[in-house]
Amino acid sequence: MSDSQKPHSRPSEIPGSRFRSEDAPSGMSDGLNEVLFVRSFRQDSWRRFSKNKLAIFGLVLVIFLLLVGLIGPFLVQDPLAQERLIFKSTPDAQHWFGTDNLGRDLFARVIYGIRLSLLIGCAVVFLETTIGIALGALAGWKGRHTDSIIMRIIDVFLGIPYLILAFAFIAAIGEGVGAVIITLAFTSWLTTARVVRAGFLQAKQYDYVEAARAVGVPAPRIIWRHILPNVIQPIIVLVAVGIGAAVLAEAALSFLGVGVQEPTPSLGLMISTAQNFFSTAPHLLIFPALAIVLTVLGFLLVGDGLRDALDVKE
Amino acid sequence: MASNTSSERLLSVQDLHVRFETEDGVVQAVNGLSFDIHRGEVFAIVGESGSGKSVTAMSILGLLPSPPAVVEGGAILWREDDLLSVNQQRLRQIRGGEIAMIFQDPLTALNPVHSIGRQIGEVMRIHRGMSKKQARAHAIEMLELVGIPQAATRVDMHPHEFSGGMRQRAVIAMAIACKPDLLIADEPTTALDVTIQAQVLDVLNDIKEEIDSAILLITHDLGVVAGMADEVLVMYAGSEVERGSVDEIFYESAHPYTTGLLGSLPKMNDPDSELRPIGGQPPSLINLPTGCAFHPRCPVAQIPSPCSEIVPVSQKLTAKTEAPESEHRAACHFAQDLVDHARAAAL
Amino acid sequence: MTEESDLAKTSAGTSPERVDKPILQAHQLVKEFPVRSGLLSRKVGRVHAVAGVDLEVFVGETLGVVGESGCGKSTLGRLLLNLIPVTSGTVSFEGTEIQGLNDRQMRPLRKQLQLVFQDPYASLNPRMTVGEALAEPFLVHEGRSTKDCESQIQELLKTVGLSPEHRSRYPHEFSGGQRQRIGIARALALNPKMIVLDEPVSALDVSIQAGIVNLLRQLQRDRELSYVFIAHDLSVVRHISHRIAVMYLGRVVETGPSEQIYTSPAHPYTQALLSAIPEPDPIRERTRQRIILTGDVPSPIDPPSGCRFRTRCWKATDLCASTEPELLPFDPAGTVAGVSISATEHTVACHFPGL
Repeated sequence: MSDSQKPHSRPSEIPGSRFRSEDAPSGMSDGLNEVLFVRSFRQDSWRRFSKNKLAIFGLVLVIFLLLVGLIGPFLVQDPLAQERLIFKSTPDAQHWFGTDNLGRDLFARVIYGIRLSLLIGCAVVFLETTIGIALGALAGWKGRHTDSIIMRIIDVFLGIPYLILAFAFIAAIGEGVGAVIITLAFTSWLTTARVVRAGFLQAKQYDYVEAARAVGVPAPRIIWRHILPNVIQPIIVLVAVGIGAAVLAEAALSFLGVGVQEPTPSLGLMISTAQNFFSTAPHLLIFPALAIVLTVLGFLLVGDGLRDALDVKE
Repeated sequence: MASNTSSERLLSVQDLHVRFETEDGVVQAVNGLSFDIHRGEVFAIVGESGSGKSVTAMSILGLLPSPPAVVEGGAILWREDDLLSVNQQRLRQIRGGEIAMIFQDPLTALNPVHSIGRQIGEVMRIHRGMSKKQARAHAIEMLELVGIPQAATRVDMHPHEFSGGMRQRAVIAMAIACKPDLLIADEPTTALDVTIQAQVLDVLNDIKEEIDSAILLITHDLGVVAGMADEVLVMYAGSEVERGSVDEIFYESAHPYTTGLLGSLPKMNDPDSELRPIGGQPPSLINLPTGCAFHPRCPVAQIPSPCSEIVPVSQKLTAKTEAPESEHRAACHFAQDLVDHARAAAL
Repeated sequence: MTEESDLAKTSAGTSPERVDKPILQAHQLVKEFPVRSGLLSRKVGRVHAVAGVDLEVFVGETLGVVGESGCGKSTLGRLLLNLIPVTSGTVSFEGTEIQGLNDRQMRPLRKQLQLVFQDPYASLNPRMTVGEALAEPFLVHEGRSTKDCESQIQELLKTVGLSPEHRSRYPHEFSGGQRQRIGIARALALNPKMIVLDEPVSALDVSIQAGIVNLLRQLQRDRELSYVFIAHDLSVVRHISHRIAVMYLGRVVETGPSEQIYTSPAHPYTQALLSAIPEPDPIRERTRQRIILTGDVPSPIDPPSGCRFRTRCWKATDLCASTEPELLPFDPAGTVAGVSISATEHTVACHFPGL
């Protein structure tokens, strides 16, 4: 996971993100900030996002990959069908990316691999975010002992190296796509929970939360209507980055042989197999690797763009 | 301004324009402001949020972030230098040395990791080339001047060990350390409690005599202005609306905005009088009203003409016989009528 | 302390002007916040935010609570609404003790008891339209949706001087004064009997303040509302309050009808506070003498012994350090009668009261 978090570009390098209206004349007692900051938050965020060329590139990439994942499988050949005589062939008109060591169409396998990666990524992030919000909100809202217990659990989990944790999970629940999803979800909700908790601790102090209490609004509605919408921005960022991270983690687990199993077309698995033939058939490794890189990159760029656009501070 | 001709003119702001270029449009923060400050006087700029008073103060020392701020046209003359075009080296010399600034929030104006003495001393070491020891001794002297008890021990303390009132006094001590010729105080007491505000105003009044400088007081608080200022400039939506001596502004207000501002304050000696708020909302600086910027809220405006069509020019009002040298000006089409009316009412 | 509680008991019944019982009554209110520090968050001290406060508010009356930052006035306001739990003492609203009630038990009372905040920017949820914010009280208490209470929302907006079309806008589209009006409209939604106003105008420009103060007075006249008006700005407080309580470091040091507090303040702190207000009158400012207090407000973690004001008081003696002065009736003639103590009477907690 740590690899996936490296390629963060610094916000100041992204053109267009620099001249935001609210950080312009800060420290001015004249209330100019009020005058300047008059547009709705959503419009403002979208405009900042759309000015960020890298983020737009990421968004285009993500949309393209989603289309590939949704429609692609209907258009390509059977990823499991083996050409009897053509092994490790180079790209040609019939097999755009060539064939693998078992004579299967690599293009189809990469397309199916992307679909699987996205499926796993989305499922993991859905689970992860649900768990993270639930536990983070519980810790942040209840505070005191509940908070201490949840936070200590998170600390313990964070203290264990990620792969060891994942191996332990796999050992306990077995291999396969479902196991990969559960493993990744149960090892990655920690950050979400911490962010949500921090947001809750802060939001609890807001006057409008107290105002809602003063009007007699019940706690669930305060959490749902008043706090969550105002802590959701960092979570949106985490979702985007999280999909990329999950794609990478799935590839890593499959590469190590504890993730998705043959013959399911998984990008990580393809790379793992292809490394044996790298000197003779490098394209077997390059195409799936490129697919992973583009998928991860797309989501990371979108996540980064969102971080700047939503002005999430870490 | 004959009363001031004897004293040296320090600062002359001439036709200052400041705008902010934002994604929402161009914010006209200051529109053609001119004023002079002379040695020994307390010159107050009064206005509400968005009036451009703080922007004016910050543009004098070139502290506006650019972008988005654009200072265009006009000049800010400090003695012989135009602060808008002076070189960086001279500007550094002027900042902190000849012109010092007191900010509103003492907490952010002080660096939490250095002792108070070191922060005051630093100014002296930069501008006066003092040694560490000399600077520390001077810092103690300054702290004593602003009325901090046990200055010799407090000098080594850090900002968090000071209470709010003491911090603001430390900030003042830092500002006056080099005996600047002009002290810009931007809302110096707004963040403070009343009893602490009284202490700080008292200190400001005392040091004014002590260091023989001029003070540019930026505030929204007319009570503070009444107690401290000699000359007053009232700003609204980036422009001067009225300018005069403190008595002229308070007792012979010639602009409906000034009158409105005074009328909206509760009077301590007449608690049962109904407060008279100024109607409407402050204008958007991106899209200023046509003609007089105040006309949508003005009780005496004649609409459409002249008030919503012609921008009123700040005009000199006829002086009273007792004060023939008065420089009382107001930017209102009916200023002369209003001031005549006020005088008649006073009789 | 027990003497003071006796005093409060007698004061409730024997008020000559007020035959009715107070709508809100606080008795010996104490609030301490633990100061935690270190790895295990051990309690290392206590902030004595409110230290034994008695007060009463009558129907249709404004009680001004005045003091500087750290005097506990905002904490007091929240205790009166049971938004934070009391450490000890009681708060009764229309005869029912409300301290210790949980959120569910408080809900019926929330209709009656409302709060308006200081900062109009922070007190409105940026992601709810004005209409949604104003519909929330109806939804919570009467189960009605935004559509069902459309007419009430429009009526509320008109009451506070805004246009009914404003209901579909978000808070950021309004100026500070307009937002404060929305905050007041929200407080008014369920027709409360009592509103705690926590510095409702201090964050606003002067020209806007007056409009809000006038609105509050108008609403009080029209609806017989009771207010607790918390502020540090004495000139505004005087304008709106019938009675005033001056607080210093968690204690009430002086109470009385606002005229008396302003014309003949008896506590040295009140005198200093009044003298410190800068007035918009240059001639008066030039001539008058100020009482300038030395030093700052001591820490509420470790308040001074005896009279809490003694460290800044020019009248302080050994007596002030050893004995805490009680809140006793003040008679400018100098004779402490103390026979019939009424709630509206001028009381002061000082060993040496007077001008």
